[in-house]
Amino acid sequence: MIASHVTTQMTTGKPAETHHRKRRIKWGTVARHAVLILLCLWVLLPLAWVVLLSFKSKYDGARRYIWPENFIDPIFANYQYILSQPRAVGPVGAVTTNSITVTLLTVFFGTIAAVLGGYALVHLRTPGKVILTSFLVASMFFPTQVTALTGIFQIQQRLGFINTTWALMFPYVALQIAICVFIMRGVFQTVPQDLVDSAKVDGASSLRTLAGIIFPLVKNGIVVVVIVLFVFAWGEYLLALTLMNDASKRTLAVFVANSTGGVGALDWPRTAALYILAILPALVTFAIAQRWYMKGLQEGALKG
Amino acid sequence: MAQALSPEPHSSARQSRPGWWRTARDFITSYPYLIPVLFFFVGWQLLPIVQSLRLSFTDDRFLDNQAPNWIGLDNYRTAIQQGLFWQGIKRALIFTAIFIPGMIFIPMIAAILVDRVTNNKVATVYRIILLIPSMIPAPLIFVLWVWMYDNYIGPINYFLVDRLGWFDLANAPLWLENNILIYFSIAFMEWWWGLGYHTMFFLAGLASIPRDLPDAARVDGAGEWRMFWGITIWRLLPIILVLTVVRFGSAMAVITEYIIMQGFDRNSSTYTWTMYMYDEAFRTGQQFRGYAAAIGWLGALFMLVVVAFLFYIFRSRD
Amino acid sequence: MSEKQQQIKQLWQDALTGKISRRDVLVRGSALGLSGMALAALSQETIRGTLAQDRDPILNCYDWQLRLHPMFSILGEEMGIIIEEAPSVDFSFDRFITEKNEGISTWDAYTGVTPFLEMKPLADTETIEPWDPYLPEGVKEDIFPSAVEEGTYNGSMYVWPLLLDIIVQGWHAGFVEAAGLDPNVAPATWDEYIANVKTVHEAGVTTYGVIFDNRDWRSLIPITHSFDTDVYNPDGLFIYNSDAAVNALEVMKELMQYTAPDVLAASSVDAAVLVDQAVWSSEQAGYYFKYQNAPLTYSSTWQDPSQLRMDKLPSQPDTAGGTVFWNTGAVLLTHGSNKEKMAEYMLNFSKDIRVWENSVVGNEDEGTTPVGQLPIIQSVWTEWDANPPAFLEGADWAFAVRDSMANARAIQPTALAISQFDVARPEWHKYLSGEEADARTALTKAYDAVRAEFERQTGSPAK
Repeated sequence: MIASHVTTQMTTGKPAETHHRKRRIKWGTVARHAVLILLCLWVLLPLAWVVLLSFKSKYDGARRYIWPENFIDPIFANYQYILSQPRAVGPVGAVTTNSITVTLLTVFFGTIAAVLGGYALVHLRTPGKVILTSFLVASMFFPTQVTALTGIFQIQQRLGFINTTWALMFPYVALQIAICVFIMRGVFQTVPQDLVDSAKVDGASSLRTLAGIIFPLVKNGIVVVVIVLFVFAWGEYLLALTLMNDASKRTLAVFVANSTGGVGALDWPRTAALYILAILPALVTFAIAQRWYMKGLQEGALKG
Repeated sequence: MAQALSPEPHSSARQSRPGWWRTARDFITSYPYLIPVLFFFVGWQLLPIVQSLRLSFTDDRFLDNQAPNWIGLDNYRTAIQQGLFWQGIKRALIFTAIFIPGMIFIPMIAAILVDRVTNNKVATVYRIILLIPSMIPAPLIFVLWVWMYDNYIGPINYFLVDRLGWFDLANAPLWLENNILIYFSIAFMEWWWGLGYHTMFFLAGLASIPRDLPDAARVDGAGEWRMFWGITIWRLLPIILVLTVVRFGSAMAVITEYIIMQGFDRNSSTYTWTMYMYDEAFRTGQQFRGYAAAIGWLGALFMLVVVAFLFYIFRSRD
Repeated sequence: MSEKQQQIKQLWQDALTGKISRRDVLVRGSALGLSGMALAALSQETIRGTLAQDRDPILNCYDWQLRLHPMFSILGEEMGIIIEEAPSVDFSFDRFITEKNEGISTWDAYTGVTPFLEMKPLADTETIEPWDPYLPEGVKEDIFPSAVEEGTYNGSMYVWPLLLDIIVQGWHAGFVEAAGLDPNVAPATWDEYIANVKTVHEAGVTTYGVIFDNRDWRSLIPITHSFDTDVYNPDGLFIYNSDAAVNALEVMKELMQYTAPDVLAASSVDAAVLVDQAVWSSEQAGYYFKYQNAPLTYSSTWQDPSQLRMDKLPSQPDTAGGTVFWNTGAVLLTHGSNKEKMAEYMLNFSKDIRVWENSVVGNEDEGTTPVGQLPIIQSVWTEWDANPPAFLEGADWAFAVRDSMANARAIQPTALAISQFDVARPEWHKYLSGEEADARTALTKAYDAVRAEFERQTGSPAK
């Protein structure tokens, strides 16, 4: 449906065929880029719509048409409102802090666990490798987050972790640990065993080997793990909703998803501003890390 | 995997020690590295699974402040007799069947196209753009598409009704209200979300195809089309099969999408077994945690049976 | 108090006064069988426990209350009461009950109770206690009698009503006039209402004749009450196949012809877009019925918001009908403290003119819009009758709402709380969608489903 609108734009925009070697137009290449540009527009247009909404006035925000009659004045007024009216908007500051805390903890512990675990599964003589590996694989096919939700609740309750935001880290890491270990395993497999062995012959302890010799070789793969954990923890909904019942203990993603009802003063343009603020951190992180992330993916992170 | 399991090369010094000694030594040197993984995996993956299994044999109600009683298979018996449960499984299956093909073939096509882009910079730009949705917090993806599909302020129906004039307000498609259309609407959103990430899988697969293979074929005069069916698709088949199994698992267990986009409306096509489980465990009355755990386990068992079956048919064709 | 409870209380005291270490708290607490939740609370530094008078008074409010009524917070600051956001999204009250089961309460009172939804389970578990011992002289008599009745359970007043919500009708004067009707007169009966809606719809002055709440028990029940308010069985269950309910469902079916095709769209409580909100805020319907907050708030995006008119719902002549209303009120948590102080706060809140000014016209400094919830204390109204405050100028609807309290009945509390509507809704929808031709048949099935659920949940058959 978006695509149909896109086609009309396509005829005027020139597909990126500028890098042609020959003069003769290669229709195959044109078609290839045309399809790719369509896919990119499919990805980008919905987000562009939200950005546009966040600059609309209340009046235009409630109406069907896309381009507003007037933008809100000043143009950042909706963003300003979100940041300056804590009583009407709710505990944005608290839930943002919560999200940052739980995300950092999840990334930190999850990455350490995945790196050490992946290393042990590839480069160390680990008894029970097969059993361990098959348990991890099996867990990826089990709907833990749904089926074991009651169990997770009980365990967190016994530990006094209901309404303790940072403790969301435990189930978060656990739910992602299998995939992260496999990403790291794939990456470690690209490191020759000989290299590890020769370091050992030189007398380096295995931890020293990991830190000094292997680490530089797998750091792109680690970026992949970091991003996987970051995106998961920043955006998890079900557990953050179920295990935290204090509104101020919830995470930003839950807060935004639950405050989009346009109740009271929080109309759609203001909600859109809140929305944009909530998705920015992950996008910025990605923008910074994408170079290593892409390399990491190519270096075997996807082989797991 | 083969590489990981192969015996490690020559270390003759240890050969003289007895076998148990070596195992113990290996254990001591390797397991410290696995402690963090095991801590999280056992504590918050295995234990909750076991805990919910135990719960499913009890009449535990969260709010009644009574010690739960062991009631054997009663919860399972009740659930199997409930139309709601089977309806929930059926709804999840329909969604899964609609969701999987698009989740596999759209990214595959995107990957084949990106792979053929000769300019590296342009190819990178495509990759980055396609990956953007996978960086957005999941619940916010769903909120975004609730907006997109909305009949009043949503841009999709604005184009269909006000711009293209294909519909009027009275018969415009209600993307999230029509009990059939909603499967496609949610699947379409999931495709949007997973496009970039899955494209990366296929790109990794394509990168492993030796470059001289297509070139040789081209010299032989094979067209793009025949090359795709002759070479590429076979190289990508393992990825397709793995993704099918993995995505089957995630599609059957979808829940956040449904909570955010529809809520707990038993009439809705999105009231699947996962929603039924959550409704019983955390919303209804005294919160029947025991019964809910049984629903969760029945759903999981159903899924595992299908996964095992998928593995079986995919294996036999190798 | 049992011996164990004594010991627990002693433990709290020791923990609070710092007599014992964190470790001892954990050891002694575990020995007493306290759960992790209580232990965590006990060993936290910012502990606020059962221990009474030496902690700061603390009150919590439903999130929308804080968003819409800045006065909750402002008054708290003025009175030295800490105001927090309640753990009660989507009407959940688990946290209060689980804390009660541990013998603690983080808060002294909670202001977000809708009596027919939460009062019974909270009172049955003794999570809340009656206000009666703490009520200042004369207050109970000053509250609308129907509201006192709504908040009364087993003879005691458990819910102190604070904010009055009534389902009203709103209309867009411009559209109504353009359709050839008198823009200043509300249709008095449902027949008239349907006729007006039809006229507006067919005149083509706007998209739809009418719009109403997509959570349609909030439409079904008000219409039912306008025919007859005696529609509850001894368990408090709504009698779905009563004549009044059948009439009401038929009215809704009539209205369905003149409204948005997705008017009954399922949605989560806090869905991104509510159909009625979208239609009303973009001026696409002539009539609207929902609690008064909705037409008021959502008309703020109109070209000319002064076109909004509101009045009480239509009724049916010669029937035992009345209006339905619900209050959002405060409950006193059993294990809380500072109970007199809480009563004082509620009384101040009810009488504070700033609360009602903010509610009727909004508050620009705090960034809030009007919500239209009204006071529940009669003496406030008596004063306004004699001496209407400036902010009520032109808000005749407020007095109409007040007048309808004379003949009003709240929805009755049941063991099923809100889930009775979740269970019944699929059945009555079959009539609205045309799948079932007879309203009574559909509603009877709805009633059967609710009774079966009642038996499953309580273990005893519905009466």
